Amino acid sequence: MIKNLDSMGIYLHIPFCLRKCSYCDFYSVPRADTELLDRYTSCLVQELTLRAAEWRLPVASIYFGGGTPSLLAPQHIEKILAVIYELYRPEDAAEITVEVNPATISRPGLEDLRQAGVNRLSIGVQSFIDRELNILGRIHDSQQAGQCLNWSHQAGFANVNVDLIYGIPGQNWDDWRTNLNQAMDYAPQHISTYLLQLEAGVPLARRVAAGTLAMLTDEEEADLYYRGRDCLLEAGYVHYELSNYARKGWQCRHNIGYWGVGAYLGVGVGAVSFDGRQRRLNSPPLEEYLTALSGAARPHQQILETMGHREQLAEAMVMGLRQVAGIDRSTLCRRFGADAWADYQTTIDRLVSRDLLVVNDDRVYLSPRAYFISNAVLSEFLD
Amino acid sequence: MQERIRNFSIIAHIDHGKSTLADRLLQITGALSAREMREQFLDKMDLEREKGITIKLQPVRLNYTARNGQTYILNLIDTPGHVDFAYEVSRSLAACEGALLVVDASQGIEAQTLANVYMAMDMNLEIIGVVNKIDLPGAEPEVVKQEMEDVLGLDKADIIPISAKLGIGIEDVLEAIVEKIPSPKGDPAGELRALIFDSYFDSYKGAISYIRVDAGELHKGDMIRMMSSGKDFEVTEIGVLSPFMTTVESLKAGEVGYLAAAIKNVTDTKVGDTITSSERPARQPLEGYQEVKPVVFCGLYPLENNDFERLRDALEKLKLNDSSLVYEPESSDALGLGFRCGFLGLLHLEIVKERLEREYDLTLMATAPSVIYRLILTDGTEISVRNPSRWPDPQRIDKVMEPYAKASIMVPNDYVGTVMELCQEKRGQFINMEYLTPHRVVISYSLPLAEILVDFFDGLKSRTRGYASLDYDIRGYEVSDLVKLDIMLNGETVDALSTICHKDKAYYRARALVERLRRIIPRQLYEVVIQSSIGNRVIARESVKAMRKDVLAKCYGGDITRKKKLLEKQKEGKKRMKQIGRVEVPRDAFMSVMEIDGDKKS
Repeated sequence: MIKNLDSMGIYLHIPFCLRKCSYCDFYSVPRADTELLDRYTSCLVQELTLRAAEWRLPVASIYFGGGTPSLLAPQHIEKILAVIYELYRPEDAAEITVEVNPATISRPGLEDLRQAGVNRLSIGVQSFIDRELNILGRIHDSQQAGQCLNWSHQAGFANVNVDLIYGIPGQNWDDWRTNLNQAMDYAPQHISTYLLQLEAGVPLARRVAAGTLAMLTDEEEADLYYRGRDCLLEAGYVHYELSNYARKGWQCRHNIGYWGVGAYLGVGVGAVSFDGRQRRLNSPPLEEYLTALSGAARPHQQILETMGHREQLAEAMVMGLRQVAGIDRSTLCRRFGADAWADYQTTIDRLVSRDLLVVNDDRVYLSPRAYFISNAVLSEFLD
Repeated sequence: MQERIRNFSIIAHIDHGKSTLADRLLQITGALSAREMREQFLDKMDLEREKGITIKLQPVRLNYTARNGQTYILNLIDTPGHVDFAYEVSRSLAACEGALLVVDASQGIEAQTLANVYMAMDMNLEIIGVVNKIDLPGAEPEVVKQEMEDVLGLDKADIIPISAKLGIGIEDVLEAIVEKIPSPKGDPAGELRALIFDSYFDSYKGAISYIRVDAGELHKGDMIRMMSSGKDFEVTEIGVLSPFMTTVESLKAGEVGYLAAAIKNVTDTKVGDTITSSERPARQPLEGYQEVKPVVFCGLYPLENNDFERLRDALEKLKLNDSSLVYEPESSDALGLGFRCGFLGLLHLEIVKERLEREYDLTLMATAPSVIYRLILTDGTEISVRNPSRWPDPQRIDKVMEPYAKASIMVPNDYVGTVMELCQEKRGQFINMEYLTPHRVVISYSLPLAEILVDFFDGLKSRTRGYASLDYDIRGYEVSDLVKLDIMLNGETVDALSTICHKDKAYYRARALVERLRRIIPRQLYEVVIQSSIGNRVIARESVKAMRKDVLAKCYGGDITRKKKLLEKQKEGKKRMKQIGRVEVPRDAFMSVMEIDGDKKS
């Protein structure tokens, strides 16, 4: 484990979906029968057991992502958390998030999750407009989304995120404002707003290529981004990462770990682990993962990248600048050495002169005009 | 000894099967084992194999035992078929006593072939006619033979039908070479005279020259003299190419081989020069070649400014291998230091650029090609302009003259109208039309060379479905109404994007240019205004809107590696751009300003 890291996150990948959304290219399997979910849970428990010895940092966050983690029964989650509490070192106030698809959860189910120790929900609403949900191929409607949010409150969740997507074909500012306002009506602590970006080959991309649907223009998308941002700021949300907003103090700890280039253990098929130096993927397919873990063997892993000091530093810049507060000089130098900042001084100066970066009180951060063209800035920090 | 030597080359149009025939000759004479054999063996460059064309000749020595029981040494000197490389053909021919003329049995004689055959006939070479690809369904060997008789005066009874691909008739070709091509007749006891017909640079041995010994004898260790410069060198290695380099003790009159003499300075072995002995020098050099004069010029600039010296070095080495290349340093406000280079044609330009990039690991930008204009200024002085950015103020110009070429286009008679229409569009003046056979016509036009260079050939091929072939030679200068078109990016003139064009076409070209640049210049942080002007008058305008979106919506744990790769790729792409002022211009933009005209509408 790399020095200078004081905590880690645990990510659990639940690769099951009732149906794949039209814009999604993540690894998932269209099954959710109880037998499979039981077996997969046992395998996660097995993997957590096998890998515990190498991951000794205090655990600041636990995150069930997918796929559709809410397909797991609360007892599954409970079982997994029990192993983590037994074999790892979770902090007292560890953030424990489960991603929830509104179509796959009941009110008692949410209460059980709460009971199991989950303290944060990330609800995949995406839109409150049925026409848009339809384009996205979501399996729920807007009414179910609202109901899910109500139940979350009733179940006692005090930390809820709403995922929203903008840039959906046909969407205009009125639509997007409607979505933002509807979300805020439920007073979530956190709102993630994601631009619809299509990887080649997903069903929606094929419809666009065929001409039956048109993506918005760059100008329209930029307009939705900045107007949406104004709307959320006005309502008192803090913009803290390019796509993320939260009530003060309710930023997502788990994701801040990613942007701060912290360590994380990824468990489950398709999950990625990062020890500060190397990223490894638990390789698909699911069947091989299940076979390995059922036989108490470690999952097959693929090394995605191994980083030297220089690459780690570059990543710290790229990821750090995605955060609105940017990068703090002393924090950077503490981790990467006294020269870390100086290495990038000319790059920083050039970008500041173009009004893309701002340097202030020993921090460097993106100027707001750079948010939606941030790749042009971030890529400058790579060799 | 000499009576057992035959030196010959092969004349053929592109795709008529010259390289395949050469492969067969190598195979049948046992020069290559099956293991060593691969297609287009004598085309040494990757570039040649990729493009399926021959650029550089590569000599090879074959041993052939004829039906009369005698063994002969056959020196084959392969030749290129494209009009740009006509000079290579003439160099090869000068080292030979005979030539195989290979014609495709379904295509017939092409304009370029005709030009090369006439060249060979002028040099008194024995011509052996060969009709190739007789195995193809569309083959009409008898028709083609008749055509060769009618057009070239060859006896059709002597023309050999072959299929190089299937190996049919190859022995007949070898026999004809032995029987018909005269052996070399130089004096073996005379003073040494050897012609350098090609050379290249080898980093271990220094300059390597391909030579044909005309008279006398050459040994390893001999002191030799370059007759043009008078410089002396000691021969460190001589040998033959069979086809791999094989050292020999001596090369005698009539023989073809290579020579190394620890020549470090590439300019010391000049192609076309005569080598003689330092001790017993010949009085007269052999007749060299006509110096080829480049007709197309463009600027070549390294993308990285500090690669300038490396580019100079690379050009120097390449010139040894390609004597027709000329270059001189120049500077551009937009591109920095580079070279104005002269070429024989656009294919030559393209090949030189690619060779420089591949063989010398350079990344280059080429400006739009230009011919040499002659200008008479109002004060009566005459100047030559080969770089549009050096075009004087129109106020100072009295008269402009541009080079014209006589273009001969050979085409089936169905396409006469189409071809004439194209020539008219390109400002051509009709000279004459001649029927070679009832179905084959040669149409001659006087055309501005600049028009021939701007995708004339592409237009010709597409409008005649590939049936037309073109040959041209430059005739002289004529007065023309030409103007300079400038391009401005955000108000600043980019010298490397200036072009010269005819006044009547200026608006059309200006529009096409700015439109094209709008499409190839990527969106940037600021709006880019592209204008085209004549003097101070803007005649076309476009703009590239400022980039509004360049963002990754999500970047989380499992995806970070992939997202970083996307950013790295983006950065890579940027490195291939040239920063001009605050505008990033793709490096191929400069060359692309010429790829505009009638047939390529988009």
